[in-house]
Amino acid sequence: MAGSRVWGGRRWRLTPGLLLVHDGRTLSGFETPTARPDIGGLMNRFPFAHAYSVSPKVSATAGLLLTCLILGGCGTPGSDQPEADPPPEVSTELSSDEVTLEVVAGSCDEALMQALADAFMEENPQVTIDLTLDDCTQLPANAPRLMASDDPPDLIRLSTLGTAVEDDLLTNLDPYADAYGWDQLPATQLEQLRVSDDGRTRGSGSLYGMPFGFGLTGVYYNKDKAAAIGMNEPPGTVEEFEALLAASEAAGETALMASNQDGLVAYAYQGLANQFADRDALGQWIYTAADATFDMDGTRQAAEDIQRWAEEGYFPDGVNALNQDQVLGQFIEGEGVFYYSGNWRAATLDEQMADNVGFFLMPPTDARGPQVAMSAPAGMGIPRRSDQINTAAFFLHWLQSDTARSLEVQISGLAPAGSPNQPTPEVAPGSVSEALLHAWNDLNESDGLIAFLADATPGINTSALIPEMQLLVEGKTSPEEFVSAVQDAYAQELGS
Amino acid sequence: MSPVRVSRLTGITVLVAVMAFTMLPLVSLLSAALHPQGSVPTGVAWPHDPQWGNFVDAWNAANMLTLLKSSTLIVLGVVPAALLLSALAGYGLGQLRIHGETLVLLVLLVGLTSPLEAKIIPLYYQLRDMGLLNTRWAIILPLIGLFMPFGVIWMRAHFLTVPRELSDAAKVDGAGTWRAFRHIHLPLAKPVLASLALLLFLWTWNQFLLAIVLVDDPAKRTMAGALGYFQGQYGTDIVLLSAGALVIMAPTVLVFLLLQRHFIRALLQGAIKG
Amino acid sequence: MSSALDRRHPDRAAASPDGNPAVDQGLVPPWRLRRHAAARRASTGRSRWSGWLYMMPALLVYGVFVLVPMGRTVQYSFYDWDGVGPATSVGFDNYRRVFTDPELISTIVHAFELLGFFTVIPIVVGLVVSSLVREVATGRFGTVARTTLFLPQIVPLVAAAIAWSWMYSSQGLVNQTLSLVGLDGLTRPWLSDFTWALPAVGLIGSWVMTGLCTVLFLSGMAKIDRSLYEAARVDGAGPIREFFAITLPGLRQEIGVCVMITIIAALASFDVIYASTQGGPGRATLVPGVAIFRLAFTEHQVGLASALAIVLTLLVLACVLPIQRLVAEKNP
Repeated sequence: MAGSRVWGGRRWRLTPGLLLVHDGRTLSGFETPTARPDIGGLMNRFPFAHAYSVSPKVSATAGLLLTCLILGGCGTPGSDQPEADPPPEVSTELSSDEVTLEVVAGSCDEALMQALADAFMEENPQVTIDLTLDDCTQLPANAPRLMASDDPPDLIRLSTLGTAVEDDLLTNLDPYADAYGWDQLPATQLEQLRVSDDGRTRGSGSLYGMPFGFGLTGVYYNKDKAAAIGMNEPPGTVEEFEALLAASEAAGETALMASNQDGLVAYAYQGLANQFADRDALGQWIYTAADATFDMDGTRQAAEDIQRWAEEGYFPDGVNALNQDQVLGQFIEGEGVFYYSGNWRAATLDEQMADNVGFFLMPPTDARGPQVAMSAPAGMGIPRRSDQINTAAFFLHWLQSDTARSLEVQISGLAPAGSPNQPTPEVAPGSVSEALLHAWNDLNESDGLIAFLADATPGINTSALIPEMQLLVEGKTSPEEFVSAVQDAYAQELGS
Repeated sequence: MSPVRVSRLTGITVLVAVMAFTMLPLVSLLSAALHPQGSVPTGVAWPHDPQWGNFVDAWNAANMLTLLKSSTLIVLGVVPAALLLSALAGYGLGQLRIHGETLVLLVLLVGLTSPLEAKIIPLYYQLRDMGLLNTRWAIILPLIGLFMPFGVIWMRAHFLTVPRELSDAAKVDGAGTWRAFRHIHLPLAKPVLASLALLLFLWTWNQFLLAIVLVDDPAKRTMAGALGYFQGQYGTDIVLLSAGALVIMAPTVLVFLLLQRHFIRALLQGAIKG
Repeated sequence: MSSALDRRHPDRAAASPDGNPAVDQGLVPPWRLRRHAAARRASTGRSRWSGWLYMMPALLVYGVFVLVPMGRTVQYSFYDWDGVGPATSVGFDNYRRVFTDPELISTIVHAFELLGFFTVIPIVVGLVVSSLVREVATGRFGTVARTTLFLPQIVPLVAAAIAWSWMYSSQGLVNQTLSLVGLDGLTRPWLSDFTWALPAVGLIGSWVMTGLCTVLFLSGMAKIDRSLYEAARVDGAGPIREFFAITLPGLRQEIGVCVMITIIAALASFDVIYASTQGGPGRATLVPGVAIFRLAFTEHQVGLASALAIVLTLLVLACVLPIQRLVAEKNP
């Protein structure tokens, strides 16, 4: 063989790698796959380490740093967002041209969204609605990215506006509010969809979304079991409610059904916090007003109570492992006396539990105190760079039509979009759907609505509320730590 | 019993035990998938009335044909290109030799050991600026790049073993490096390329993080990414979820079973030569 | 020529270890090698540059989609950026937070805890099992065994997480088995238990990695010279001595590869945790991979996420390189 010679009685060869090979086996330690049995390419991941004297660790780190420095480049990361086209002329007429509306909603809204889409397409055949569903818990976090993408949807479900307005991702709907007369609707309805001029504080200012219904929370109860523990009428104060919980637990029942894998013990928590803390201050915090803080005596006290309830065993066993669908199923099967949830479950409960389910709003601390309940518009917004803004706005207005209102109430149990002066959609008398509709109207009049804690920022739910609620219920964090952890996460996310 | 028999018996028992442990989760999935939908099965229990129809429902719910098409398109986009680029680079490094080989290898090493998380954030913004977000290219292009270190080093290892005499002979015959590559080295490298192809196919098909960050539409993701979406949708219905997971796993497992010798050999090259 | 080499060249003692044992053993003086190399280089000068041409496409794609992003991650880590609006420079603040924020530190701790499950268990079990089944893993049965053991590597990690999540659930196989053997008191929803969630997730990793290590070691064992074992037996060594004296050293390379792959899998883990616990309960299973994803894409703290990603990368390097060195050094 050319290039080989004999040394020390063995035949040596110089390979291209400048390494000596004899009998197919290298001496330098450099592995070649066929020379020495080895594990194919896996062995060759770090082939050179043997052959060089510089410590691989040093050279690799040097290589890493060098590469990164060279390629890191200067300049600030920032949005090179292409300018959006100027918004089209506001028109309240639906064009007769074929048009496709891309709609993104959460998978938990599937039934209602599909029904609404079908009904709309039937009335307006020239419009095709392309419905995409995203995971419900992930959508609030994904929404900003979807809106900022090059091909944003025409309508997107927004459970919270977050920094979408500050980052200029949404169409300002004020002109449409004027054209369609949306500002005639009760102010409290659309409050959460308004953002002030600083782009951040919600609760007032320009309108950026319209709802397909309103959620409302409160306590459902199993009528048979409630009667069994001696409940004759809904509790009038928090104290009475707690006494009923204690009675349920004593009777061997699960007192308060809740799921905490998704952190929804937060409903009960906020139900208490609404009463213990100054409602306006809490509301301002949710709307990310400047100088608002979560650190209040009321929030701490609510945390204490929840922790005490957990210790007393009012929540189901393994509550941290349960999600909302499981708990709903269990409550329908007859487990638990009370169930803190919202009107979006009303339709299912009426259907499955017929006359055995009742509803009451979370009672106040004082018998004559104002009732407060969490409510949120099931809002949809139009991304700024959508190419079908007029059509999308038309759809938003259509959500207040009688057809849409019936669907909203019947399929999902949400309080319907639109004015309370419009005819109330039909609900079965004595059903929880009816009770909820009444509660909705009452609270609108008495201004007893507040937004959800989880809607404060896009990330606060997954980053703080869910984990902290899980820790709180297990007794692994103190009420003080709970409150400060939530406030810290809030401050971090808002960059203050 | 003779010591040999005992040791053989122990060996077989241990092996069967480990195999059973390996199959356990999959068997558990199967048993869950066969229960009536909406029910909550208990552990591993063969249902009285196996609902084989659940697989059909899962197939439809997951939109399997679209998923198969999407994953196949992504694999077709990634693997041939990655193979070509790796072969070219491996040839350059292994046969042609270059100055600064150490530096190149170091640079490749950086990509090989660093976790994907270190690259995913800027990749998102980069692809957004390229206008490729939510398209299959968003998965294809970064994957080709990510596979380069492994592919190049794999092909380099092969090309190092090809004797220089071949290239020298080709040169004498007047062939340039490209002709030598195309007509001599590439055919020689076929088995190595095949092994690499199998590995890259597997890693592409099972790519998850890239898919869920860069592509929102499950119909444009990889199978693993689509399974993530499926889990988000049907997470609470364990029966449908299990059926869906099995249906989505099936293609890779089938390919593996058909080509298992090649798969395993790809990773255990040279064991026979020992 | 051989006479010149037969003489021990005076340079030999002074020559530092070349990495080339032929030189170290005094068979070839280093200067001679270098002359050969130089001669060779001269004759192939032209193709040295065409080599770069062949490398270009690969390096280009690699550079654009891997190196540039890595560089940018470093860049982002020095800013406070929400990913959409403008960014503010904050120097090393993000890194400071990574090392002082208990939540973030805990993610790193969890990653290292997972090492025990992703690396130690698979390697130990792999070694034990392959030693025991070496003789029997042959023929048809051996092929079936190898195929089965390899399945966890074929199945997407998401699917593995789903399968194991089901097994760990309140009605899953684990609790069912415990009840069957009368250990009802131990049943619990494993993935929601603050103490057991991380070990449970770790076990998923063990399941995924053990098969790979076992098959790797089996093939490695096939390469060990049988005569060594016979010699040892003649000397009176029992199976344990054999294992430590012959098998283990012989598997050095394979163990090294296994350690490498599993360490990277453990520290950079994302798929398994994301698809099973999402980091919960509380933050008991939160690992850097999931934290980075969440910080960047849910909580819109891109700078902090990038800093954590860089720290993770350095940690992986710090773990992997010494191992590689350890394994490589003792090679003949």
